[in-house]
Amino acid sequence: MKLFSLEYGLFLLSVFYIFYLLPHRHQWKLLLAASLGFYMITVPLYVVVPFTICMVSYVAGLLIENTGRNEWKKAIFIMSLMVNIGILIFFKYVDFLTKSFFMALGALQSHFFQGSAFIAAPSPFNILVPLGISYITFQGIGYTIEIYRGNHRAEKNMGLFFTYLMFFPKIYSGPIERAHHFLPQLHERKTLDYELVSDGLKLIVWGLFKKLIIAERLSKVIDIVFQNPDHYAGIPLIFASVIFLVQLYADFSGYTDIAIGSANVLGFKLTANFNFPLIARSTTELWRRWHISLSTWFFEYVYNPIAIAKREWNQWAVIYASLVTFLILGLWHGASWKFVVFGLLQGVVLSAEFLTKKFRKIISSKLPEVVNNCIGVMFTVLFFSFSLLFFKAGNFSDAAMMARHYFIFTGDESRIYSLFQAFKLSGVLKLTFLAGLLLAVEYLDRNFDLKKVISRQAVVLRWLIYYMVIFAILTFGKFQQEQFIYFKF
Amino acid sequence: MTDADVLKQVNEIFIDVLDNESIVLKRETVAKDVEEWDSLTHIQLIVTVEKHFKIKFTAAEILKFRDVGHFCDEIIRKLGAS
Repeated sequence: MKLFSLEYGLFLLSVFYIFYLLPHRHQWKLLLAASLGFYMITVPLYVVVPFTICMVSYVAGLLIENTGRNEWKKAIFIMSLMVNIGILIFFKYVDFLTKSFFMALGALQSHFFQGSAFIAAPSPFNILVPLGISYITFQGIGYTIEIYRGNHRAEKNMGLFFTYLMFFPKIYSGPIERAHHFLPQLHERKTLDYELVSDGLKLIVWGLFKKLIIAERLSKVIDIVFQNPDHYAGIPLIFASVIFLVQLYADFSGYTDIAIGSANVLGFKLTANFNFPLIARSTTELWRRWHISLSTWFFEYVYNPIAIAKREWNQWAVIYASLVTFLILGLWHGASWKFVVFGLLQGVVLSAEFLTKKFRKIISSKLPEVVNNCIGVMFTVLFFSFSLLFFKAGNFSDAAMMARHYFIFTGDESRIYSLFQAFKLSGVLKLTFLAGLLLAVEYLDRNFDLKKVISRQAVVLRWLIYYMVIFAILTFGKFQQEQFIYFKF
Repeated sequence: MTDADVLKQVNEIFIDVLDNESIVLKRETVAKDVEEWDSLTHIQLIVTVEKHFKIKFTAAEILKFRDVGHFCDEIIRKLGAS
């Protein structure tokens, strides 16, 4: 079910009405039933996968807590980790790993046996990846790590625990909720909080606007460039990659707004996933502002243990941990070498920023703050949008070709007129306007709390603004489009 | 060594590692209160503190540090134990 469909609106409305009519002890049961139903609409049988992850994490949490001996705790913890990661690898990476293994084998074969091929790669399994599997698995793993570290008590109520992992607004693409943030909310009695519901609805409307108007319109034009990777170079390619960054932000933050807004409507608060990332002055800062719940998860459970274990290496521990963390984070996005490169690029730039920190500080002390900030933001946006070529391109060779073309500023395909040929002047203006609108609204909201400013206006003006936004969505929104970009992860 | 001594020495280490003369640590200071104190510099701070006080934290101890006060308490505990 698409989160921007009428069906989802009706579904949320029905759950909302019943939820607040039920006594506290039954509220979670409704949420669990609704979440299971929501998940099963796509491929009913696949509910077995999140169910297994929930069961493994739940049982492991209780066993780790109630086992006295440390070696048993460790054994149970490792077993649960292996099962959860095994499920993820099986569904998401089995074809990639098999293909890579046989490619390496083929290379060895042709080297030692002069090309006589006697080991053929099996046909791909083409397993359908269950929706939201990465998110559910990561929450399950995070939960067992915290119990193992002794930071949290295990949840005794199986139903509540299942509801935590499968809560429908966040099941497809997060935010990745931490148990200590979400489980206590499930224990609380939920009564109708008008302000929270109202904020949630406004967030849903803004999320719909970002997805259905901004992201969709930007995507249409960007696709022209990405479907013809050899036709563009230099400025037009840089322009398209920056616009793709804005589109991805509009799409993913649009989804997150709908998810958080839906949770608000039901009285729950989810973790913020974005903090105006397009003003980040470095890639290090960008990853503190972009997909926050994922980057926090990676920093706590992958980066920190590696960096701590290798801390004797001093600054090289940081670099090693950054590279490994972002390599895995890249692979998390998908089973493909292009995502490996996407992740490694982040790791390399983060390491470079770390190593040059003192030098950059000396340079920046000689420049006015506004110049520093502009240079920082420009470099960060350009680098991140460049790395997104590996994220967006259809395959690794297309991405590599576009990365080479990115730095070519001579020839017809690099000239600005190829941009106007592709998009036409009105298209370029429309793109710039939409990207500008998104950034302006988010900037105003960040600095002046737009929701509060609007709510202080006279009733007529306030409702005029709401109706105008809803009217714009209904008139200009593209409801027939594809799912959110991050749904496939 | 008193609590205040440890806090003062930790403060100097922070100033040196993070290259920021204006850092003034309090017991309740946490990472988000100091601009340069992030996941990347955190490890450098731990290593420098360990070398300075000639102590060694376990991974589990490092992962549980809540704020500067807790960090200093752990240093004092380690110094007492050694």
